[in-house]
Amino acid sequence: MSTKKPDDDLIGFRDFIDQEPKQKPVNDKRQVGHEMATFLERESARMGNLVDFFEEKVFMLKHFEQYNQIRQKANAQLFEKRQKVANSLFEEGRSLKKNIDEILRTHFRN
Amino acid sequence: MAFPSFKKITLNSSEPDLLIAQLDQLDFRSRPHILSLHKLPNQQEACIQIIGKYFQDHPQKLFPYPPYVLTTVKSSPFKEVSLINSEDQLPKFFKVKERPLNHKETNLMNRIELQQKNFHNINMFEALETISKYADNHRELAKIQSEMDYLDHIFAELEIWDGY
Repeated sequence: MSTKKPDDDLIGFRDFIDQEPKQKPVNDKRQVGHEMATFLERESARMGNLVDFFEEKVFMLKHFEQYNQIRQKANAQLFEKRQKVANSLFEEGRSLKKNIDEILRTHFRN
Repeated sequence: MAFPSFKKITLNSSEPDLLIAQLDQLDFRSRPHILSLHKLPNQQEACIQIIGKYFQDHPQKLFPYPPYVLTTVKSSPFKEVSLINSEDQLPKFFKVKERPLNHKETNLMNRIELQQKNFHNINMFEALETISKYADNHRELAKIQSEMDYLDHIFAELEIWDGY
């Protein structure tokens, strides 16, 4: 029922003021479309990364393997460190050498 | 063209031949699949064994979309099979409702299809073997590095104890 009166200043505008704002549908087509496009773009990027990894990176790993060179270098470093520690343990004045000398002297004195 | 969202498949039999025949019919490489075992509540573990063995024999089917098994079983000895107890545990990324696509989306979908074809041309056996070998090599290097760190530690401790 209309509340219009002849002396109302807002006559003519009343319909716009009283009008309830239209509620947007829950599934706004444009928004869903945007989500779908985003999903497809991300999926495409994911697939691109997978192809890049399994095709190019794996190719590089297979044909330009660095393991043997790194292994040789690491083995040399390991050998050097083992020698350094062994030499250090049996240097004159080291606790280990003193203790071993003491043990041997105690047991094999005679 | 298969839309890359989840597709739920109900497995109907725990008989190895029938189950493998059903798995063979699925195109695991075109979209992510959920293999539901709700129709076989008492044979779930046997089915998981068969599915696990199937994917061990066909590792190329695990890429680019890993399959998920919907079951009440908590764990499996097969690393190839991801077990889930409810659909809430699935990655949200692929939970997209399929609908007709507009022009832009169709173009993107065509690009994805082309990438899938590229992916199918990759020799996955060879790629996985290379990655596995690379990982083994790095484990060896890690062992050597670990021993070197230990020797460094001993050397540093010796310096402190003996006051050198």
